[in-house]
Formats: sequence, structure tokens, C-alpha cells
Amino acid sequence: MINDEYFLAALRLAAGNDPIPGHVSAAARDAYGLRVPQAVTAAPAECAAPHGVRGTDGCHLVRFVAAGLTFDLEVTVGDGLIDVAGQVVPHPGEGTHVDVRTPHLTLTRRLARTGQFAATGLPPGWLSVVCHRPGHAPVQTRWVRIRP
Amino acid sequence: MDIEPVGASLIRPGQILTDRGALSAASRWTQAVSEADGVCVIHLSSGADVCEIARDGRPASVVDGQRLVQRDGRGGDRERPGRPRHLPRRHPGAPGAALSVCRVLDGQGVGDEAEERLAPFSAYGSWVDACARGTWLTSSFLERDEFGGYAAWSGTSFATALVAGAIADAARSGPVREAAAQVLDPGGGPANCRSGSSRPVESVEFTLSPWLITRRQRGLLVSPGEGGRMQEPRDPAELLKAAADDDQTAWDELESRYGPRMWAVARVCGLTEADAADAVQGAWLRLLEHLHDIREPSGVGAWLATTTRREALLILRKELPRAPYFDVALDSDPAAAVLEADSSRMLWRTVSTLHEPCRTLLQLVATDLGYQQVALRLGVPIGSVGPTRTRCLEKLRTLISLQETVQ
Repeated sequence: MINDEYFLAALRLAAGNDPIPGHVSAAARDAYGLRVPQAVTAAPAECAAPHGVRGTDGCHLVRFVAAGLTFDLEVTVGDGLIDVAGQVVPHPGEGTHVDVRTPHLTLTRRLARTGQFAATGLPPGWLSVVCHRPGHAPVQTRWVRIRP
Repeated sequence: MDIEPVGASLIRPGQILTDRGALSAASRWTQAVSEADGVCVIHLSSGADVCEIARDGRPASVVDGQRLVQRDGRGGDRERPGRPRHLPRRHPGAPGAALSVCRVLDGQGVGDEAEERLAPFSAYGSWVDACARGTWLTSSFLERDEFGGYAAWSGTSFATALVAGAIADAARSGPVREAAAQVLDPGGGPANCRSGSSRPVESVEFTLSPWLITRRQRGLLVSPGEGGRMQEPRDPAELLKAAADDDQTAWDELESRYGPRMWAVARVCGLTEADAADAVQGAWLRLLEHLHDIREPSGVGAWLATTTRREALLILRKELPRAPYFDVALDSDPAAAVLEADSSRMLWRTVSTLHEPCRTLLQLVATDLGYQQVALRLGVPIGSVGPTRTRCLEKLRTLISLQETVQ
């Protein structure tokens, strides 16, 4: 069945039906502005709780690891917006800040001594955190999709 | 900001940049240009808003016989100066009065080869009048952070300052248009901005070393008489490389080429518009993560389609955890291949070789007509449309598979 659906989609695409909406194209083009040159990308990793699980309270736990840094993100969805509480361990050092990014909004936070940070009121959708350390390449988490 | 005079020429910095090097509104550019009394060369850096001005035709009112507006043909930037966004356009209303400086030479290395090599961020646009060195030049800069008013940086904005300085310097002894003609060598340099018979730029405040400027009428990819349109579309591998090298135009071109197919892939997986938008956006974000390590750059279109499908299926699984999971992510299903390859024309050619009623039926279902409408138009009972559709698609699949075997 999926084969037929693919053929029909290909026929519709070729016939020019169901065209890509303008806002989807525009968002794709704007995504280029989210590029972090020279960034190391942190891949998802196992954490104490199974990663990516959705808790009963709408809370997601995700862990990313790269370049000697571990990012633990606890993402909560409520009231149509998302809150991120995170920690970078070990602490990357003085002068470090993180950008909590969505395609539409980036919030910059200094790290606490514990390596913790928080950002609230982000729009749901794709989310990534970038850690900027003086003297080192930035480390970005892979993009994760967070929806209520 | 104090700027040292160059010989008898004076440089007047316009305070219209925001603190991040981002662009101010087009109206402020226009105002700045009209207020620049007695200035013979106006250098508009960061081109996106300037392009707006050019489209509006406003420079015509501020360019007169005495002055010359030169603009950085590259687009502006939200993060730092010099990032390309748009291909240049010559202002139609002021031929000869507005210059486009777009191609940027890579000054790194030594010898002629370094002089002739284009910087990775250089535009390949049409109507490029001049090229100059644009890498690692020391220039006046903002008084902020670690920059004490100067910075060594690379970008088209830095190359254009060279050209402006050279023209201003030459304009001390004559009308600015003549100075421009003199500096830009109207005899025309070789096509790729080699030094040719051009003149070295000297005693310009911005230079670290003398550099060469040549006049260029048109970019490499544009043939005369084509009205400035790109002659050949860039191939996918080239686009991917350019996008990895900071070229937004290449990214935009990837989007316009593959976006529609990615949308179709997401939709065929059964996603709503909102979820399909997420899947497509997700695939682009994955491409950002992998800009430098796509294994087959020429297959970036298929990579994007496959990635869209994977993101779409992940979304489906999350939304409908109990729904049957189609494991179609990595198979070599010819139907999926049809959608992910660049083969719309082949597909329709194949449809047109089918006998009736298949030919008409597939055309009708492709336009999303309901079974009732299809039955009406084909003059068959509604109950036969479904089975006929299945049979026709089966024929189509066989023909496509045969073609793929032949290829």
C-alpha cells in the first residue's frame, strides 16, 4: 500500500498539486542562519532515564555527549510553550555561555557554577543548545523536536 | 571613530551600521547617501538593503555626474559582516554610476595563483564590475569588544572598501567617473579577474599590501546576451560545498530545488500540514549538522528526501505509538526512489505510454479528485475505480522498474 501512496505522491508532485507552503520554504531558508561554523555536534546518548522518554508530566529528558561535555536537558511542555532546564558537565570554565535555540527564538544564558542553566517560554518545535567556550570550538546538541 | 586621511582624500564613515554589523533600513541608506554632500565616492557596504534601494530605483535621484555610488554586491548579514545572501544586481537606472563589487579574491598564499583564486565566499553573480582582495584585510571597524576600531577580517565589505579607496584616490585629479574608468580599466580584464593590464592600488588606507582591481562586465557563469541570467544551474555537489562555505544563495537554491519534493515525501507519509512542516524543517536542520560530511554530495537531493522520510516516520511513531510501523526508511523500493529521484518527467512520460483508462485515471487521481468524480469522468461505475487504480499503479510500477533495469 505504501508503494501506491508513494506513486500517487510522486504523480501529485509532478502534477504540481499539494505544493509546499510558502512558510515552509521560508523557514527552510531561514534555517541557514542557525548554522554555527566549526561547531562540534553532540549526539544523543543514553542517560539514567531512557532518553527521549515523555514522562507523565509532559517532561522529556535528553542527554547529548561530545567533545568531553555532557548536556542533560530536561524539557517541560506546558501552556503551549516549552521550558528547558539543563546542565553541562563538567563545567566548561569561566566565560562560557549557552544559546538555547529554536528556529524563531534564541535565549542566551550564562552557566551557573554548577553548570546549570534554564530558559523558559520557548516556542514548541525544534530545539538545540549550543555551548560557547572561550578558546574552544562551540558544541551544539543535535536538533530535537519538542511538541506538546 | 577617527579615520586617517588618504593623501588629499577624506574618508567619512557613515554611522548607520547597527552594533552587530547588521543592516539598517533602506530609508536610512537613502538618507545617508543624500546627505553626503561633497563626497565623490560613496561606498555602501552590506548589500541586502542596498539591493532594496536598487530595486526601488532610488539611487537615480542621488547619483549625479559628480558622484559615484559603489555598493557591496553581496547581501547583508545578521551575525557578522560579509556573509553572502544575495546575488548582485546592477541598478538599472544608473548605468555606470553604480558599481557592483562582488567577486572577492583570496589573498592567502603567495604569487599569481593566490591573486587569481577566488575566495570561497566570493559571489559568482552577474554584473560584477570589479574584484579585489577580500581576505584578511585590516580595516576600520566598530569600537566594541576586543575591536579597538580596527579589525583584520575577510568579506566582500572589505574588498569593496579597497575599490572605493582606489577610485577616491584617483578622483583627486579629475572627475570621479573618469577616475573610476581609469581604475577599473575599461579595456576589460581577463574573464576571471586576473591582474591583466589593471593598475595596482596604492596608498589606500585599507590595504595591507598593494592589490589589483580589474573591471568585469559579467560573472563567469553568465554569457553575453543572456541578460545576466545564470547560464547553468549549479550542480548539487557544488551547491552543497558553497552552502558549507557560507553562501546563503547556494542554500536557497538547494531549498528551491529539493523543498517541494521533501514536502511531498512528508505528506505521503500521512502527516498533517503542521507535522509535515516539522519533518521538512527537521531535515534541513539535519543537513546543517552534516554540511561538511555528506558522503555523496551529488546525491544531496536523495539524502534530503530520505532524511525527511525518516523524520516524518519518527513524528508518526510519536503521534500514533500504536500505529503499524512501515519500515521504509532504508529500503530500495522503486516507488520511493521515484519520489526521491529527479524523475518527474520520466514518470509522466511513462504514464503517457499507458493505455486507457490508466492514463486518464492516473492523471485524475494525481489531481486529488475523489472516486466519484473519477468515475464520472471515465464513465465507469464508482466501484471499479479502486481496483482499476491498483491495476494501473501496478502497470506503472512494472514499467518504471523496467526502465531502471535498462538504465
